[in-house]
Amino acid sequence: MKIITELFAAFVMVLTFGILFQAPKKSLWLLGLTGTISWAGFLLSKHLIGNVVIASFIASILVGICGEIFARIMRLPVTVFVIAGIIPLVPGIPAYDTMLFLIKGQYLEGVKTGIDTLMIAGAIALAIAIVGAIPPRIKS
Amino acid sequence: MLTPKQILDIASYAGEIILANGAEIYRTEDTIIRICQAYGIKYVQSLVTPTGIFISIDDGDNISETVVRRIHRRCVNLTKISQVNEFSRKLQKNPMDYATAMKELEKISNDKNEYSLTAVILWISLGSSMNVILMKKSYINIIPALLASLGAQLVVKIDFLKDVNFVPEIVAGFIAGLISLFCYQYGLGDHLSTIIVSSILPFVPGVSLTNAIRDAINGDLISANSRGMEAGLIAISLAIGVALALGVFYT
Repeated sequence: MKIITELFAAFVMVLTFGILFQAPKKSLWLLGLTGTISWAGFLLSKHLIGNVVIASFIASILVGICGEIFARIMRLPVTVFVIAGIIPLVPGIPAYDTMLFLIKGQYLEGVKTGIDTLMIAGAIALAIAIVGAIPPRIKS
Repeated sequence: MLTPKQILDIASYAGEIILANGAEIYRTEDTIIRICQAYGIKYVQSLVTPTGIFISIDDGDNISETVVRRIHRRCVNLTKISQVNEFSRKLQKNPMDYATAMKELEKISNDKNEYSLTAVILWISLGSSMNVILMKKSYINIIPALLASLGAQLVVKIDFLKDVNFVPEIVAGFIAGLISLFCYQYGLGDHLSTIIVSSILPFVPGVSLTNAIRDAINGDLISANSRGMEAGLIAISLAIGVALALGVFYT
């Protein structure tokens, strides 16, 4: 039950961020679906592996794959699905925590969460870049 | 047959639209090069940074042209990116004349947003409060997160501060922090930092941070540096705003 609520929350969240980023109206449902799929992947891999960075990496690979497929179905650029799709995964909270720690003068914690932030952001970016590099290779 | 100047006009206008609306560097460069090649230009070089576009073309007969376009304001509008994408695909199939192409780009550039301001504010408040569920905190926190997010969005999106960089983020952090603290103090919600973080989520630069690393992977180092710097400054501004609210409340 809890998991279903979470998946629904991911759906709503990605959909509304699609609205914030002014995504085309016809893409909104598939956007939400991207969010649900990637969050399911995140939960599953976090349960199996227990590492947030690797779970983020796997979930972002799912976002990239969904983006490539849906972009071809709807004839839209892949960015439409990727920018909003990674929202539940992006390390906004650690990034904010880092700055709050640094402002409070807790430098050690600040550096620790800062490194966490960069690791997660790097994992997401790498996953998206890897998925994006594959389709041109298949075509040629 | 278009003159090189006119081709540059079309290509730089298209590039300007998508870059100002949040396209990645490689997509902008790619679009510009494709448009120029659709008109039969053999030699195109484009250098795109988040703050400007440089294009130089040479048609092989000793006629070369260069253009520089400066980008001042940037936002994210995925509809415009997909419209320009469609435009450039159409143009590659069948190169249109100068007036038609410019008119079409003008229309894309001046088009109204897909969603009205009110719709954006209401939906994004709901969406960012959903973060409470994703962070596995109790559902009572959704209400204060929704209120704080709504307050921050209302103040920042409507008032005049929008034109100054980084000030909206400080104000948003301050308002969100204040409303969250107020709710928390009166027993609405049981986890303060979750409420604050959820309510400022639409302002948090997670996407620009991720894009910065993506640019670095693509080899666009200037853009990676400047976007990373922007993300850092936005995070600092938000944290300053929240810290101000916490300070005001506890003294």
